[in-house]
Amino acid sequence: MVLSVAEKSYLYDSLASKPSIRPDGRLPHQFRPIEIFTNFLPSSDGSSRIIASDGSECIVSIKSKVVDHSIENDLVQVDINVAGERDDSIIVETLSSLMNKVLKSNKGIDTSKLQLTKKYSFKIFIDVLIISSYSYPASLISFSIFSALKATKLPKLVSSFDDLEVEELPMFHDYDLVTLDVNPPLVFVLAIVGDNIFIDPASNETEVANNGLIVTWSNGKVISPIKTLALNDRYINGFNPLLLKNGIKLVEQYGQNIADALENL
Amino acid sequence: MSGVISVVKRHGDFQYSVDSTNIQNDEDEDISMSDVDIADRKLSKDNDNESGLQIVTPGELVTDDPIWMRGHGTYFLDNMTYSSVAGAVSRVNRLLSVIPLKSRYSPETGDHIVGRVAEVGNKRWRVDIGGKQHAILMLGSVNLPGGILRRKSESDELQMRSFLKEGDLLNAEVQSLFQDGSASLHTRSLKYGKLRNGMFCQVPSSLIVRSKNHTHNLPGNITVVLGVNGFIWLRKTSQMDLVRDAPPGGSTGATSSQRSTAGPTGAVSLNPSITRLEEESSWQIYSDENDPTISSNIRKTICRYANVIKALAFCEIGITQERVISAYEASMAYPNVGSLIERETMESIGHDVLNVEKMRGNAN
Amino acid sequence: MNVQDRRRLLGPGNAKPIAFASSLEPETEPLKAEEVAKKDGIPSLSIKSDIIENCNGSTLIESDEFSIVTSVYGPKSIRGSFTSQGTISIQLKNGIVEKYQTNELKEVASWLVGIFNSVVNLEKYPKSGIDIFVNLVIDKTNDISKLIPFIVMSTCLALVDSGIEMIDLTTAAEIDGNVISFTKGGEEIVGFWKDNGDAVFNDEDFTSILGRCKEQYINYKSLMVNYLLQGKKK
Repeated sequence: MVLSVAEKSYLYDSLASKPSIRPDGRLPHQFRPIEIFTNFLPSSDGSSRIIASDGSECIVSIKSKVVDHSIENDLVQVDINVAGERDDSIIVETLSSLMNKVLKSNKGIDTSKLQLTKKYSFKIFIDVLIISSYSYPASLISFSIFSALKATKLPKLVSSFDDLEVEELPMFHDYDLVTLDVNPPLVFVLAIVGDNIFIDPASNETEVANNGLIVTWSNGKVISPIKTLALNDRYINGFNPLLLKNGIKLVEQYGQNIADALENL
Repeated sequence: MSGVISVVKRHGDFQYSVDSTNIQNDEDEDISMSDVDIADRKLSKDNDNESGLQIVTPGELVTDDPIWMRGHGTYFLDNMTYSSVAGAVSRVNRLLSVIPLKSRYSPETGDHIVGRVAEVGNKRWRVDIGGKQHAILMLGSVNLPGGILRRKSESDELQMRSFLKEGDLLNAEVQSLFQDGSASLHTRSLKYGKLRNGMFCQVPSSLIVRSKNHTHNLPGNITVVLGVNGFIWLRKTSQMDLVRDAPPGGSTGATSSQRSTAGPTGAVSLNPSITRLEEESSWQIYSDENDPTISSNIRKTICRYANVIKALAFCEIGITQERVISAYEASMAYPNVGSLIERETMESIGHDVLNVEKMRGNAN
Repeated sequence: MNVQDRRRLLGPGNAKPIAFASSLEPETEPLKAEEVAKKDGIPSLSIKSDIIENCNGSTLIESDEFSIVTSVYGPKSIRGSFTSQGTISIQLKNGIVEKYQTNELKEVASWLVGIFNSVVNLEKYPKSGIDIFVNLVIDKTNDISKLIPFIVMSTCLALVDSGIEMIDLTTAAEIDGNVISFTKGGEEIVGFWKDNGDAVFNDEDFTSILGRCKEQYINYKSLMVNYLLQGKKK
């Protein structure tokens, strides 16, 4: 979105003032409301669709496959598609690199929860489709992946766990399903304007942000990856090192609220 | 949820079980078999109807009579005309078209609109007005610095970007329409021109009610420009706005805003003398500088207005000055402006606005 | 073509500026590789600028562990609609060994763009593009976080070599996987990168990491300044 010079300077002054005034009056830690649909794709093990109040929309589908984990050690695969962008465009590659790091790090998805037997594991395929996005979609994607994984139900194993000696493939119950119990990390996008920092910047806020932060949160703690993110190329500038700490504290403080809100629907 | 985020769980339209979709298909078949009867009934019913208004949905059969010419919003399959949009059927002579309930803005001459410059071209700006095509603002249709009587020179052509550049917001009037339906704008009045000192927000153009006046002074020292195209500009009330809205000889102030729509605004105060126009037509009208004295209270009030306008749009309530004010008053029950973005809050504000209108007895 | 462009008188494509015989001693000394002594954990670096003929600026930084070549092309005019300021694009390339995935390199590249957008004086270059290519020729570190400080350094020096106007010299420092890029003598952060490990940001650790990074940054920066000053003297 292109804004006029006067608009930008008005927004900048509002956001940089103490206390900051966000264009929609939100508090620094307040998110825009979202709507979630889960398990609507009949052919996947879990799915979710999030619509943000600005019209950004993201669909995630979770599929699974039984693999021999001694051969295949990559048990999570994330694939991101953005409508209107080529697969090798910067935004798609950057997001998929980020989400791979988030989910595959040792604090990401606990792969022991995917293990079926001593030999076999589920491999999960996470397909993300961003239908429309008006601000940097990292949070949207991670929220969708979170709620899709929380809604994922996998077939129940009926054969024995110890199958090293016996040559048998895992057997599953005909209709019983088990909820996948994983705690994927959440990704937060923060914007820095002047000496203020706030969560979930809307598109007009990103236009005037001096810098941005991507912060990952899991189980009450801030984990890596953490990085700065250029939200625009006009206002980008250096920031006070203390803001980095403040941003991380903000996420640490409110991360659990988000996780609870996404989980207890 | 402690005010951090509000998450609503919804059930989608495509969340059918396999059985229910089958049932649906059956129903569809039934309809298609008896299409002709239904269509006949509809047409006859429609003829009885005084208003002649028939609302159709996409894919609905409008008529099976091949004599009708097919206009916008319809498609033709096997000698039958179906609607391709949700809207009202319009019949002009033999031309059958469906006017969509919600669509991109279609400009009409005289509309007061807010637009954003998309492109600087040869002697013209292309302006995004949320329509199907960009509108055109000719260099000859703007006031240039130096007054109304100034000749346009080649140097003006070369420095068009110093008047209006990409991204700039302006309000203008639709001067005329081209053959293809795109608009030609003009800003040759002091009430039009570059917009400053405020914030932009956008609603569907179908929600803006065309009225005599689209610039309103609101309580809280805020002025709103409700562009007919759904682009809305909220700004700090300027001296100009106060003069414009003041009844002749009467007192100024926000309280007069209620009367101003009824009274003959515009005519009296919008005709400043030539000298005044020359004064105003300095370079300042194209300045990008905001008023440095916008207080944080004004900024908060602007946020509140932007949120209540979004709430009205969320409830699909037509946006007028009275309703914006009434929604603003209703929103005062929520001291935290940020809580106005929650769905329940927006709904309750919408209800309040409609209730107030019912009590006043002017609800339709 | 717009009016402004029609008025610009362009010479033939192969026109060259007139070259007068230099009355001074010709500059005999091309910038030569410079060895910097190893101190306080800084690996010994060899920096060499102006190594590629057909680009506007280039820098080679080498140590025992890596070798990075950065070349800068631009500012050059870009096609398409008007832009009021310059646009930077950065591409990272693997060396002979395909060590990093392309999407990771693109992620680093877009992160670097953020840093250089804040230190390059882009307002000076409307309607222009600056293309930067970073080639990781040799890399034995196996950890992009360890390499980033030198990528930032070489890009910054290549930009200096190309004569593009910059607001500040920037470089980055790396401590325990925390990469911080500073400007204004360490007063401000322009980039932060952390790929692995927990964020232990209680006040004490944060201050200590920040302090150590700042110290490293100041060392690196004085190294860059020394190098640039020496190049100037010759």
